[in-house]
Amino acid sequence: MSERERLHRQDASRTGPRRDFSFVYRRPAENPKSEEHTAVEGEQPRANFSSPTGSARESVELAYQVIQKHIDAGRRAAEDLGENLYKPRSASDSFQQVLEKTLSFQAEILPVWLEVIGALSKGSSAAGAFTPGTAADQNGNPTAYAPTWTVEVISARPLEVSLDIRPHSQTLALATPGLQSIDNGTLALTAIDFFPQHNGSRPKVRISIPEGQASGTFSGVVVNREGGEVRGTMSVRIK
Amino acid sequence: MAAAFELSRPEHKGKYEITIYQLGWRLGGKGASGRGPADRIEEHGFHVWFGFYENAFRLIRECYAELGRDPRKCRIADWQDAFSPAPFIGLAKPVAKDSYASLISYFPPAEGMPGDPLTEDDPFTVTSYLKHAANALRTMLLTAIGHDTTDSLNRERVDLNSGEQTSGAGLYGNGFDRLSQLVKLGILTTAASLIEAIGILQAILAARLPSAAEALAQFVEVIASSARRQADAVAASDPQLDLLWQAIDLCVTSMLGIVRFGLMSDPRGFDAINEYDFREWLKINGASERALDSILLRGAYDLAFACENGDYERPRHAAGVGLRGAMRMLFGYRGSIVWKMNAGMGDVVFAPFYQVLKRRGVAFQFFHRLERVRLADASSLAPGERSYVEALEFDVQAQVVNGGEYEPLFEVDGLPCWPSGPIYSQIRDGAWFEHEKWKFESHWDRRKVGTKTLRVIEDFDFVILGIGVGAIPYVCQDLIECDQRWRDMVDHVKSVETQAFQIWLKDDLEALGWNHPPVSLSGFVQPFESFADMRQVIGAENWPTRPGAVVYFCSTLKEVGSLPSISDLTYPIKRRTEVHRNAVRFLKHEIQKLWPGAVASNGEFRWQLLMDPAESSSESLGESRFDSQFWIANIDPTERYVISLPGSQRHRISPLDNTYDNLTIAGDWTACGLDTGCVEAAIISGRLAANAIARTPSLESIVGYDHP
Amino acid sequence: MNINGAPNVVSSLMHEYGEATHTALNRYLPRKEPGRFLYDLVADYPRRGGKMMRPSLCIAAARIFGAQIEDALETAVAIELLHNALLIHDDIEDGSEKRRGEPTLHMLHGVPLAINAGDALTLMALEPLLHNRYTLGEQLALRIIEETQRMARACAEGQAMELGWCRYNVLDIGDADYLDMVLKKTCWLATIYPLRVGALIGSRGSVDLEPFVRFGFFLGAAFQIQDDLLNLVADERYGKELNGDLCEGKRTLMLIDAFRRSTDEERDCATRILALPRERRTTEDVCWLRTLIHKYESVEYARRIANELAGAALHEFSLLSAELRDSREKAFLERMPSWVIERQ
Repeated sequence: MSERERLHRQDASRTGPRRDFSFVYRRPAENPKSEEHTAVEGEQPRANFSSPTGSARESVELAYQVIQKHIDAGRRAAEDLGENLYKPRSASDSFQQVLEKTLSFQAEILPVWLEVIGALSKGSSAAGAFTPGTAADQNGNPTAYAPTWTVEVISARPLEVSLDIRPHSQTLALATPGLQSIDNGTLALTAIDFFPQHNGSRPKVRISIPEGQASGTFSGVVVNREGGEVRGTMSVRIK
Repeated sequence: MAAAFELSRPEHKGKYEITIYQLGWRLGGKGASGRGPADRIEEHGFHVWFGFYENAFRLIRECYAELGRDPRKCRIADWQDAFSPAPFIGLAKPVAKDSYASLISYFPPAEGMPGDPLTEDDPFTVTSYLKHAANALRTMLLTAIGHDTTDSLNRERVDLNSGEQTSGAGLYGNGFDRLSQLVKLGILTTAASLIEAIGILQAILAARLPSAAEALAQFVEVIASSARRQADAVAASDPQLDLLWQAIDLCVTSMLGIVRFGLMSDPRGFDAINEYDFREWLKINGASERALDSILLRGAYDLAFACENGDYERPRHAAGVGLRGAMRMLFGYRGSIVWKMNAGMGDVVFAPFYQVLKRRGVAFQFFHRLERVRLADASSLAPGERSYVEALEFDVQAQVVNGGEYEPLFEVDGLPCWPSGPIYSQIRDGAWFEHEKWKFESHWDRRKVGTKTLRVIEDFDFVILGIGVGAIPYVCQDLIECDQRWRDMVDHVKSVETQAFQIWLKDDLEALGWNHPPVSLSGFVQPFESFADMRQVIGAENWPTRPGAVVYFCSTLKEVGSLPSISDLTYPIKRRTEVHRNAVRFLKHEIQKLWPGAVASNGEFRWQLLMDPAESSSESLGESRFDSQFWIANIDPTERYVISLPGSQRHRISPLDNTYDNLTIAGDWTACGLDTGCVEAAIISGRLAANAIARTPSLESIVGYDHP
Repeated sequence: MNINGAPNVVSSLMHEYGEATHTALNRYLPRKEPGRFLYDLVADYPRRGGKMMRPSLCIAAARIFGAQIEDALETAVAIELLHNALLIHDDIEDGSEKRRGEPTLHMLHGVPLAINAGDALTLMALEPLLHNRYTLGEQLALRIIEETQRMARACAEGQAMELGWCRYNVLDIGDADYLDMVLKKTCWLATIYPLRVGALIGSRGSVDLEPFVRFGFFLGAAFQIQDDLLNLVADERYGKELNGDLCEGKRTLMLIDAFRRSTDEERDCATRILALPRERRTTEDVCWLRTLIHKYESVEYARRIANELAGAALHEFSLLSAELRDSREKAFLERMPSWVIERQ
C-alpha cells in the first residue's frame, strides 16, 4: 500500500476553443486610412463672432473633448478590434448592442467581400475618373473619363439598349458572339457590329433588329476579337 | 498516440512514465491496418489526410525526423515517402437513368506544406479563407475557359480555336464551344456578383431600422430570384456549367448565411448554427433547390458519413461543423488539398509512432481489453475532493511467451508493418488460439486468459482514456451512472457502423474505361458511394504478378434497430455476410456505370479481373472469385465512426475538462474544437489530453484549435 | 488671392448644387404604381425643396480637391434621399405636424404608409451608391458605403439617445451629453458624412478624413443649436411650427440649461409637464417652459455656444484647407460657419 499522495490534475485555464473573432480576424492588408492625430487639443479657437465669456469658452473646450473622445473611439474601433468590439458584453443583449456589433462587423468585413466580388466580376473594376492625386485643371476639364459610345439602331420597334464597356476599349476590335434571351428557343441577336474609335470619331455600335424578332431581353458579353478577352456586357430590350 | 507522443517528449526529461494498454495485436483503432496474403494491405476503409491537418502532419513529420530511417533499407524513410499529394477529387453525377458522368476537379497546390510552422500570414483567418474562396472560384472560371490556372495574375488570351485540354485541367473536357462558354460565364459572373453585392448591402441596411429591413429584403428577393432564374435557365442547358453555378450558389449562400446569422461577431463562431442541419441552414439562407440537391453537397455528406444510424436516406450533419470543415478543407490547406498514404495507414502512421515511442521508453501492453473504469466511491471522498478514477479493470486476452514483450511488427521489404492477425509464435499457446480462431478485436469474442486490475497511486496516477465513443457505454458505467453529462454524451454523440471492401484487378483502370487521374470519388451509388483509386500502394505489396489496379470502396452500414446485444454471437457473421452481398451486388450491377470496360458483352462483371493471392490453386470462376478479395464490416463499438449530428456538439466533453481529476479523454469524439470524425480531430484531442496533464503543449500552439 | 467674393457665395452655390442634385434625384424617383400609396409619398418631401445644404457640402468638399460635380452627384443624391427618409421618420417620432410649410407626411397619409415610404426612401438611396462603382471604381465605392453605414449607426445612436431621454423623462443632461447626442444624431448626417465622402471622392481616398470630423461636428452643432433657437424665437415664416420643439419636449440646449439653473420647485414642475404625453400638454404648460428659459437667459447662453462652435468650425477649416488652392468651393465652406448662425 503506497504512502504516496494521490496526484491531481491541475485545472486548465479554459476548456474550450476561443471562437470569437478577436483572435482570428485580421483587417485586410491594405488599410487606406492612416489617420494621423492632428488634433490641437485644448487650443482656444479664434473667436470671430462674439467676445467669449468664461462659460462659453469652457463649453467649447468641452466640445473639443467630446469630439476628440468620439474620434479616439472610432480610431480604437478601427485599429484594435479585439478589446472593444467583440468581447461579449455582460449586459443584456439590447438592440443597440446587437446593432453595434452587426454594423461594426459589416464595416470590417465588407471591404474584403467586395474585393471578392471585384475578382469575380471581371469586367467592372473601373479605372476611375482621374489618376490619383491630381486635381482637374482650372476649367474643370476631366482627364480620361469613360468614353462616349454612339449607338446606331436599325429597328422597327422600340428598343432599350444598355452598354457597359470597360475603359480603354474604344480602340479595340470588339465583337459579341450574340445576345441571348433567357427564354430558350428565342433566336439570339447577332447582327451587332462594333466600330472602334478612329480619326477622332467616337466608337460606335450598330444594332440591327431583323423583322419578326421576338421581344424580350437579350444580353451577352462583348469581347476583344484579338484574344477573346471580355471587355464588357451589353443588353437590349425589345418591347 | 498523440498524447503519448507529447508526454514522452525529451523536454519532459522522463517525468511521465507511460504505458499504453491496447486491445488485440495492433495499434490504431479505426486507423489500424494489416497485411494479408501477398502482403496486401487490408484497411478498415480508405483513409486520406487533408491538407489542413496541421497538427497531424506536424506530429508525423516530427516522428519521421526522430525515427531517422535509413532510406537505403526502407522505402518509406521520410514523411514525403509516406504521403503523396492527391489533388484530384471526383464527383459522380447521374446524368440519366443508370448513367453517370464523372466530374473530376483539380485543386491547385497551395503555398507551403502542412505542418510547416505558421508564418504571420495566418491561414486560419477569415480574410485568408475569403481570399482563397475568391481564388478558387476564379480558378474554376478561368479553367473553364482554358486559361493556365497557375498564372492567375495575368489575364491571358483565350485560344478560341484550340480544343486541347490543358494539363491537369479542371472541370471541363475536350471539344466544347469556348465562345459560348464565355457568353454564359459573362452572364453567370454578373449575376453572382449582383446577388452577392445585394446580399451584403441587405445585411447592412437590415440593421438600421427593423421595418426597413423587411421592405429591403423583399426588394432584394425579387432581384435575386430573377437573377437566379436567369442563370438557372442558362445553366440548365449545360450540365457542366450547372455544377459550377451550384458551387457559386453554395458559396454565396454560405457567405450570406454567415452575415445574416452574425457568425463573425458571435463568440461561439460557427458553433452558433450547430443546431441546424447543414442543408437546412443553406436552405434557410436561400440556396436554390438545384444547389441543395447538388452532388457537391451530397459528396460532402458522404465524405463525413453524415447520416443517422448509417442510413443514407437520412443525411444529417451539423451546419456549424460542416461549414467549418468545408472552409478548412477547401481553403485552409497547404501543399495539396488531399494527401494519400503510400502504404497502409498502420504502416505509415502507427508503426513509426510505435517505434519512436518505444525508443523513448513508453511501454506497451498488447492483448489487454479494458472492461471497466472504476470511480472512487462517493462516500470515500474528502469534503471538496473531486471524484477520481480509482481503478482500471482489464481482461487479459493473451500472454507473451516467457513473460517477454510482444513485438508487433514484421517487415515487408524493409518496411515495418502490422500483420492482419496476431503473431501467434509470440503468444503462449499461440497455436491453440489460432486453431480456435479467437477474434481479439471483436466485441463479441470475450474470451480471456486472465484479468488485471490497475489501482490508482500504486499502478498509475493519471489515465488517458482513448477508446472509441462506441465503447464508452460498455466500460464507463460508473461515469454514466453518476454524471449527467456523460449520459448526455453517449445519448447524443452518435456513431455509425461502416462497411468497406478492396479489390485488386489485373487490368488498370484506363483499360476498364476509366480515363481519369488517380482520384477519390464520392457521390456515386449507395452503398459504396465513395471509392479511392489506391494505385500508389501497389509497390508496397508483394504480388507475384503486379496488379493493374487497387481500389478501395467504403460507406456507412445501415443499422437495423437498436445496438446489438453482446451475446448475439451471430451478429458479426450476419453483418460480414451482408457486406459481402452488398459488394458483390455492387460489382455486378453498379460499377460498370463508371467502368464500362469492367463488364463483358453479356453485361456480367468480369470476375476474372479480380486477383486471387492464392492463384496457384484451382482457379475459381464467377462470383466466388470475390471471396479472395478483402471486405470488412466495422461494427465493433471501438471501430464505429463518430458523426456530427445537429445539436450533438454541445454534449461533447473536452479533454481539458477536469471533473475527474486524474482522468482525461482523447479521441475524435471529444470536444476538441474540430468536433468531427477525422485524424486531425483525434490528434488535436490527444494534444489537448497532454495539455490536461502536463500543461503543455500550450493551447495556442495547437494549430487551429482557436478558430471560429 | 482670396476669392472671398460676394456674401451670397453660400446661397448661390447651394442653389446651383441643389438644382443639380434635384435633377439627378428625380431620375431615382420613379413615377409608377402604386402612386397613391407609395411613389407619390416618396417623392413628396424631396419635392418640397429645402436648402440642400447637405448635398452641397458633399459636392463642395469633392470639388476643393479638384473633382467634377458629376463625380459627387450620385452620392449627393443618396445623401438627400437618406435625409428625407430620416425626416419622414423623425416627424413621426416627434409627432410633428408641419414640415416645410405643409403638413407632415404622416398627417397627410397616416403613420403606416408614411413609415413605409420612409423605408422605401432609405433603400432607394442604395441605387446611386451602387452606381458609384462605375464612376469611381470598386474601392472608393465601397469606402463610401462604409462611411454611409458608419453614419447610419451614429444617427441611430443619437436618435436613440434623444428618444430615450424623452421616454424616460430625463432632464438633468450635461452639456457633454447633449453635444454627444447632437454629434451623432445631427452632425453625422448633416455635415460630417457629406464632408467626408466629398473629400474621399475628391482626393480619391488619399486625404486624412479626421479633420473633417471636427469641422463637421462644430459646424453641425452650431447649425443644430441655431435651428433650435429659431424654432423658439422666429415667427411662422420659418416653416416649422412655432414652439414646436417645446411642445414635443425636445431636449434643446436652452431647455437643459434652464433646467440646470432652476430651483427644485421649478424642476419638479418642469419634470411634471414633460412627463405628460404631448397631447395633454396645454398651451399654458408650454408658455411656462418658455418663461423659464427666458428667466435664466438660456437663449443667450445657447446663442453664445453656437457662436463659439462656429468659431471653432472656422478654425478647423482653416487648418485643414491650408494647402488647398483657392476656389469658389473653398470660399463656400469657409463661409458656412457664419452662414449657419446668421441665417434666419
